[in-house]
Amino acid sequence: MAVTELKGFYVLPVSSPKSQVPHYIFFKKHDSKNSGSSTNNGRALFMCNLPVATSTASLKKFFQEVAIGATIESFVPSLLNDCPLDVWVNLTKLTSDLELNPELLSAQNADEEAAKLPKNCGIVSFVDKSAFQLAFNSLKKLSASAKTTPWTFPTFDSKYYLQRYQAKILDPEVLSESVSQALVDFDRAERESKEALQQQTQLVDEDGFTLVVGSHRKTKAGIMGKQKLAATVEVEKAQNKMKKKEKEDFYRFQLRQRKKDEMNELLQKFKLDQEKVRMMKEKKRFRPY
Amino acid sequence: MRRPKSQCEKYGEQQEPSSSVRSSVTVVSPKQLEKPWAPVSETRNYIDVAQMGTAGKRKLVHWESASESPAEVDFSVSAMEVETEESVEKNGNNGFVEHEESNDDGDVDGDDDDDEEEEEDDQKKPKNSGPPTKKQRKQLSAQEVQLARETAELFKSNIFKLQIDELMKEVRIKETHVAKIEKVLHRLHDLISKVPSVENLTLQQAEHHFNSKKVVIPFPDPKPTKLNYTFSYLPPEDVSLVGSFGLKTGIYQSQGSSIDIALTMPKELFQPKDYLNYRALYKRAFYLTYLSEHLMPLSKKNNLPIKISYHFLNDDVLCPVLRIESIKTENPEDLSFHKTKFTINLIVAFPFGVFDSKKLLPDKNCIRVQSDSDELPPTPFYNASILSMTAYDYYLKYLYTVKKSAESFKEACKLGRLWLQQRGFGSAINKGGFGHFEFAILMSALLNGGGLNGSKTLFHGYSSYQLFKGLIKYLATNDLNSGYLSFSSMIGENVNSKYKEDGFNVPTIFDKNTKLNILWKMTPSSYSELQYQANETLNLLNDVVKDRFDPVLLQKSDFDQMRFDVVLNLSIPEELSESFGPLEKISYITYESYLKNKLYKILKNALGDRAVLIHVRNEKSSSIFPINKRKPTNVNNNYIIGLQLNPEECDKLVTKGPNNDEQELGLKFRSFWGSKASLRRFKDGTIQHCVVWTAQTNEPIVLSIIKYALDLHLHSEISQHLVSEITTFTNKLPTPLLPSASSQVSTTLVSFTNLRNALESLNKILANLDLPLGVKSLSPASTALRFSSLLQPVPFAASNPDFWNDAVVQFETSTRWPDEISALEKTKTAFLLKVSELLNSETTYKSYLTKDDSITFNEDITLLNILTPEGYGFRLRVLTERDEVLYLRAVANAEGKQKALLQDVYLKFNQKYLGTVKHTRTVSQLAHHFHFYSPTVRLFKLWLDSQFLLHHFTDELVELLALKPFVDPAPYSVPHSVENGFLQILHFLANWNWRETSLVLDLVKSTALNDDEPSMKLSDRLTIQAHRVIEQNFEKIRKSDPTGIKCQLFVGSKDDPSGILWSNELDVPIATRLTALSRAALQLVKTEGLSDSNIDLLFTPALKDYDFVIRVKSSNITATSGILPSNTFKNLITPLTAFPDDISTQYDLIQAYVDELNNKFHNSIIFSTRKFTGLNEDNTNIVTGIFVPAALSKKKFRVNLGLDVKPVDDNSGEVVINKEGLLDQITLMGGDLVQSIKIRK
Repeated sequence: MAVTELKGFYVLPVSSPKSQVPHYIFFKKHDSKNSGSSTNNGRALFMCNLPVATSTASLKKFFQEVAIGATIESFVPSLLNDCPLDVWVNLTKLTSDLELNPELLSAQNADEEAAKLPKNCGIVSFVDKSAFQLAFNSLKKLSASAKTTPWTFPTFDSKYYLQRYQAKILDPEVLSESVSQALVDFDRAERESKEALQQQTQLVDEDGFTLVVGSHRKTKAGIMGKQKLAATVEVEKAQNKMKKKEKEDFYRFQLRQRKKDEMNELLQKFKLDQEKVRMMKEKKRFRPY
Repeated sequence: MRRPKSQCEKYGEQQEPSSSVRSSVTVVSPKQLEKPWAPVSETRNYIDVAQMGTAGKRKLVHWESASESPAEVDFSVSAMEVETEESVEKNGNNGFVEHEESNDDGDVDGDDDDDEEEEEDDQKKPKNSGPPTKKQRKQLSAQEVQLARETAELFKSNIFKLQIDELMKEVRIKETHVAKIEKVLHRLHDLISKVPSVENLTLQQAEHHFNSKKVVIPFPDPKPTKLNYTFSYLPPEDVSLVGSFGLKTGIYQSQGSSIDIALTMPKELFQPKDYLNYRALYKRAFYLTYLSEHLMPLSKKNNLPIKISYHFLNDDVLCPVLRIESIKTENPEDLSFHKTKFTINLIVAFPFGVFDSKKLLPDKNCIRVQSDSDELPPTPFYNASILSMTAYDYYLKYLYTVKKSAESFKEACKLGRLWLQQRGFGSAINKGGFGHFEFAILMSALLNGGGLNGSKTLFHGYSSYQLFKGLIKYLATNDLNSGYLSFSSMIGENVNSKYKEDGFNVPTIFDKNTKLNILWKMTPSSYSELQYQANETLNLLNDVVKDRFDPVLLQKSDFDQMRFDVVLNLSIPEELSESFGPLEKISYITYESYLKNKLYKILKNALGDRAVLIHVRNEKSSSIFPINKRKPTNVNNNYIIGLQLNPEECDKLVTKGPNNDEQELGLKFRSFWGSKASLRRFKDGTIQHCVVWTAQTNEPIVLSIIKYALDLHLHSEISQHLVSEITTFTNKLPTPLLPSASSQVSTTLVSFTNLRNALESLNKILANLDLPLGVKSLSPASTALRFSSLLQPVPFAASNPDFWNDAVVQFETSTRWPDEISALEKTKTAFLLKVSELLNSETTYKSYLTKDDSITFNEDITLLNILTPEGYGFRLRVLTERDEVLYLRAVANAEGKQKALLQDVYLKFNQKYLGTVKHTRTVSQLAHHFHFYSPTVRLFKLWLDSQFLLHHFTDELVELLALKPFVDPAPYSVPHSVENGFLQILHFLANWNWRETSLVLDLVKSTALNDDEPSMKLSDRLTIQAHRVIEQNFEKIRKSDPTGIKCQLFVGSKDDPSGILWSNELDVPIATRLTALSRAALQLVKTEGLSDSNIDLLFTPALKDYDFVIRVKSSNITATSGILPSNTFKNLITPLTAFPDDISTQYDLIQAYVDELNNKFHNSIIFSTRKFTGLNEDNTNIVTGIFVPAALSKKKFRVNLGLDVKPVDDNSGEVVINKEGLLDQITLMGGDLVQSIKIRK
């Protein structure tokens, strides 16, 4: 008996028209935990183990065939689908704490959702709840029948791969526009952060201190980092100074200690060597044949 | 009362702290203490035999005087004092000790005061050795300290000594075997005494005495016909154990070893003139046969089942001996010793001094033949053979006496024996004629002098390591060929051994007492080889950075193809034996040595400086033959010639001779070279005789010279019989589609230099561009720019996967780069856009920007692609001062799991922007220095590619692996041919246990360590500290990952102390496959030899190892990769002259397909393919897949499995990988590229 349900997921076997080898998609109702994306709450479908190169177009086509009327609003595939990694990391967040402008942020939010999705998963949102219900029910039916449903794959051929190469070439016009826009945005974010920092210099806290900000400082984190660095450097400097002043062969006990140390060290090294040779022997290394 | 003196000494010591104290071996100076302790050697190198002259003498004094006058002994002995400290009461220190025990040791009072000074004193005066403090005593056991001190002193390092100890244990002959053999020997002795005598048989009687079907007398050539003397057998005067077993210097050998027993024939059987004309040898042959005839029935009767055969001792045809093997029988009463793997050689010896040794001097003739010339040539070989037959027992006694006098002699002999054996040397003529016997004699001689005026070279108190190294040094630095060593083996007589500078031009160690040249079996050729090996070993022993124990003693290094750069096989035609006349016969005895000598002479003369080493050897099967044959029947006419080339000279087109005005030499030169010799005026105005050679692609010049010279001097068609695989390997390299390709030698770097020049001109143009920030530098960073790309760079060859050459641009320093990674990349892009715009509008360069995804998570990187008018492609990436800071910041800010990921990101960045630039710089320097590096690494890459491995490795890693034999070839030497280099790489990979050992490469030009001191300090070799740091990195990695799951190949160098920069992304299956394939390849070469078909086999992939194999086909890209297609006429293929409009149409689509597959399915399948589709016939390629073992098991269903799974039918909630579904999708993704798919059942 074929398995139709697995840990709350429905199993949907699909196959390409040509080969008839089943491929299993796992789906369930998408319930988003964070309220931020509640917009599509209740009308989204979480699908797992999607076939390769699943796109909005291929999904639309699929739903047209299995559930007419279930119109798709959007499809968010995992960012990992096309990359040989298991987690996605946003480098920008790790290198800077600048508040980038809102548009970027929202774009990033969508990205973030995609970045959190595991490989070969995706979220399909439908235009409204009824469309979702329609789609969900018909998929459930298909799943229960345990029959394979045809799935259309996009065509791959040499042209496709050639395009992959060509897609890497960037159009200078478009590129320069996006670059300049990005830089303008970045400048603004930087300026805003700077201004915010400057404002803090005006504030006097309870103890009567104000924040001192250097002319090159851009973010608050930068200052903290600098302080941390300064602290460690100071300590090191002080230690170095102490070391320099100390005379190592002034007291007799120092000499004696040194000799003792030498002796111990020699012995310790000898022991280490013995150990090493013993290890080598265990590995049967001394076979000159 | 002692105070003033000790204070005075204290001051004295302060004035010259280093020279006296530190050189006296053990006192670890503060300076040394600063260094971290390296387990390999470092501070333990207190004394080195290298400075043996004076230091050694001082040592001896210490040793000899240690017992009675400790005042002269240095601090080291104080350790021993500690041991006996309780009993040392004479200096009254005991009081202090007790006092000390009641005190705390930190307490400095009056008594302690005195004590302290003694502690200082004891560096010079162990007599007053300070008692250890209480605490110390608890920790240290006196013996341990003493042991530690001693090993550090007398041996190269602790670890070396310990390793020698272990080795000695390992090679010891088993006690049970010895006991058994002793039993056998006793029984054999009894049997021999039972052999009846027989007297005065004439030749006929003697021959008829034996049943010729069973035994035949092994008379040496020429067989006697009529003799006026008789043959007799009388019981031997003496039967004694000789050789290493008797001396107890024997070692266990896996192939079994032999025990020599000498039976001395009674004196009365000889007449004084018997040394002449084989007479003694004939008598000896009869004696031997008679003995064997009686031994056979006797042994059967006495339950000693043995098989007897004749054996030419040490390949000397004048000296047949009886070889006794044990036969395995069922009878429990039989004394069978086959399990001990011992064989016994019954040597029949002449009584010592029976012949006048003066008559047998090397320059005397002892075989009288009829000849036209007045004076017969000397018969050194014959003479020495006769002499040595009189002296087996004598030399055993001599060596035994020496052994008794020098404690470590025995151990040193074993070391020497092992050393020789690993290098293929032995007493046998075909093994070079220098075995453990010669080694032991030389050591004995050196213990008694050895210098020019008889000054001592070795001392009796030396440790085994010092003796061994001293001897190696002697071999390496003194020439016993042009000069000779003279010593006396007279026991009790103390005559110094002396080195004399004017020798006989044959290797000589002359024993004044027996008048025997100990090295009589050596030839100048084998001697130079020995000397060369000694030199290499001396360098290794002098190495203070690495532990060289392995290559010196443990590794076998006698494989011809790796020992020599060129190996030739020569089969000598029958008709050549005509030149072997009676005069040649008496001086060389055998045809083989005559030929070997002749070949060597011709080659030496012909090659001159081009070859460092010429090795000639008879490919002999065996010197053992049954006792019913007079001599071995199968005569082998094959000779093996091995050459080690001189890289500076070997490819020169002109062989220069003497100046025109040197008449005599000129004549000689002309007669040697015949019609090829000509007279030329050179640029500097000199007129010289010379021979000019033409370079050919498929044959190195050395080979052409050899062929010509052999044809001229040996036999007119001999070159037909000369077989060499040297060209097969170079011919494997793809021929570039260049007009000049046919006239190139394999080592040429012209096409690479053109590429570098193109980059140089681009650099100039970039520097002159008008940009907000000027271009500071443009650093090359691609494999072709460091002479290492598989395909030679061919202009306009856009299908070459290495077509795009990376280069890293740095602009002038600025503080204004954005402090955020994405914005930083955007700013760089802005710069590149500007550059691109300027290039496109102002120059003939074409350029455009592409997206780069080589660094994961950083999506904003762009590269500037530039097509130069010369036809090359460069890809520029920008490096700023901020990059590294930002990546490191990301690592610092990351938490938990992310950290490892971001470290990988940083590594990637380091690879692409920093590491590769450094690597390119280093490798291109080395490629210039090592001429054969470039073709070797290219062949290695070809091999990897043919086995579908290349695309799993970074180019840099492959290049580093290929550099290994060049910078660290031990126990072999730096390869000067592609064949040698390639095999050495395979050899290394096959034997590299990367789970337990790291590879640390010292990427500098010269491997010689014995450069003069100052240059050593200035050189950029790895220091001990640097080496230690790298080793520690390795240890750290292995501690967290002992089985090498995450990091397999650790390759550290000064460019990359982390060791994992280039190997970080490898998988275990790939690394193990590399090892397995190298092993298989080497196995094939070693067992089946190198033939064309075998070499082809090396480059054929084993497809059956993969889970599935997809055949794919792309458009024709061979020519556009810059490869001259095989089997085509060159004139039908036109060289490329322009780029197509869209360069991406020439890319290899199969690589894109595999990329795509990897992106989608890397969790479940490892895909492999050939990176160079253009190298395949008919443009097909193969994509293979292996399912990742971890992905195959059943798993609980999770959303983030990342695998294509199907539910398991048993409702367990588990899923399993959907293999059919996967393959279906893979085929689907291939589209029209896929031709067929084959799945392993």
